[in-house]
This record gives sequence, structure tokens and C-alpha cells, in this order.
Amino acid sequence: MTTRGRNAHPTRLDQRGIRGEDGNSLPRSGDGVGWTEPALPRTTATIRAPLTRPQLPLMRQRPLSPHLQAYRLPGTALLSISHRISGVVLTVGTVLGSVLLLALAFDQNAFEQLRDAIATPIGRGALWLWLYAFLFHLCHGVRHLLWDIGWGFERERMQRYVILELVGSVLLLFVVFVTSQILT
Amino acid sequence: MEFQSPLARARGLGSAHHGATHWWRERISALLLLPTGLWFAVSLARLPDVTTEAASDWVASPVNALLLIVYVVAACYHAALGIRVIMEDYITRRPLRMTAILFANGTLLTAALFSVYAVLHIALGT
Repeated sequence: MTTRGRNAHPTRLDQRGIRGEDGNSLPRSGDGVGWTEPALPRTTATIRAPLTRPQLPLMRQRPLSPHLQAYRLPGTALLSISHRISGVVLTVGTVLGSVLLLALAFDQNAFEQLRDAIATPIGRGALWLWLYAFLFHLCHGVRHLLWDIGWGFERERMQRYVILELVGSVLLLFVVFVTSQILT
Repeated sequence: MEFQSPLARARGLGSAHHGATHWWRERISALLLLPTGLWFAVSLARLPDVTTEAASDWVASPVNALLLIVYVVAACYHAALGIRVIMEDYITRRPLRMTAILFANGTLLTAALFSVYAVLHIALGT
């Protein structure tokens, strides 16, 4: 099964006689590189797979359902992918956190070095970014829990919750900041 | 005496009936993480300005030690469940996917065990 890319040399295709032998195959664009889609009859609305290039094996020429690029990206979808990305960030942070705890327990010099690294501006920035990722993930997680009990699927609520989550997570960040300042 | 082939038996039985387990455990750990996570976030924000002694004393206090252990275990478990979903969605090649999930689970299990050990070591002063 060979899959030749878009830039397969046109002359090879000519030699194989793929081009122009029947009505379905493709004419070549003027510069001789790449493909032009075959002209469709204008009178009929035709649903067509995006991949009709004859050099693809038959299995790959089946019609495809519309993918990401075909849809608008509403706020809920943006938050959904952010939920995943923040989840990965939090996971990495959690693993690093265990190193910090081990250092505190067994090697105080290492702990002090790590803490000093976190106390630098870059370190503090990373720490607060992580904390924001945490609070955002928490806010969207609460929404997931509400969804699980069947609440909040109405269109207006979906939209309102996008704003609510973003404002809520920033607010929580502020609360965390103030509380930590008071306790320190 | 078993006259059915394994395939026929599997077909007859239908669902394995723990399809929702993963989902449910993710929710349980999420509920645990709501209060403990907020507490942890406030504590973590103080980290840059804390001395080693203060940090040790903080971990050594029984309430903090217990909350920290609950938080770390729940967080690692929740992370393992979530990372698995992400990997299952985006890694198409099955061998690579299984390897990645195993690696993630192993890393998070190790992190959880080491953290609990470290906390106990500080709290019990051994």
C-alpha cells in the first residue's frame, strides 16, 4: 500500500497512466505541481470527500465526516481543550512536587536550592501559572460535576458558564493570593 | 464441562459491567480534590517565602500531614485517570498508547508513594 504525497512527481503519474484515463481522474494544474479538484456539475449539490486524489488507496478515498476545521470553536469547546491542557500541566507539577517533598524530608540543601529557584521571578511566575491552571481546572471540573447531575445544558447557561468560569478562576486566584499573604 | 468457546461466551455475556468505573472514580477523586486542593493551593502559594524549618514544621503537624497525604494520593490518582483518557484519545498506535499509559501510571504511582513516604518521614520524625 503506497501513499504518495501531494508532491509526488507528476511525470511518474503520467507514466503510470493514472491521469486522464477516465472521467473521475484529475486534470493537472498549470504548473504541473499538485492537484486540482475535478469540476463538479453545478446543478447538483454533491457531498464529496475532501480526499478524492486518485493516488490514495481506495480505502482512504471514502467520504470523511467533517473534522475540527469544519466547526466553529465555541467558548465551551475552548474551555474543554484548556481543561485537558491544564490537566497535563498539573500532572507534571504534581510529579515535580513529590521531588520537593522528598528534598524536604531527606536533603535540606536540595530543598533550599529548589525553594530559591521558585523564589526567583521566573519561578514565581511558573508557580502562579500552575496555581491558575489548578484553579481553572477546578472551576471547569465543577461544571463537569454539574453536567453529571444533568444540570446546565441549556444554550444560554453554556454561554454564561464560560464567562462565570473564567471570572471565577481569576477570583479564586485572588483569594488564594490574599489568604497566602495573610498566613505568611 | 464447558462447551462454549471463549468468544461465544464473551458474546453471550455482553458488557463487562464496569464500563463506568473509570468515570466514577474520576468523579470521586475530583470531589476529594475540591476542598483539599484549595487548601493545598493556599499552602503552596506560601512556599517561596518559607524557611526550611517552617516548611518541615508545617508538614509535621498532624492535620497538615494527613491533608497532604489525602491530597497527594487523590491528585496522583485523578491525574493517572485523566492522562489515560488523553492518551487514549490522541495516540492512535496501540503499542505506543499502552506503553505511554503504563509509563504515566508508573510515574504517578511512584510520585504518590514517594510523597507519602516523605510526609510520614517528616511527620513521624524518623
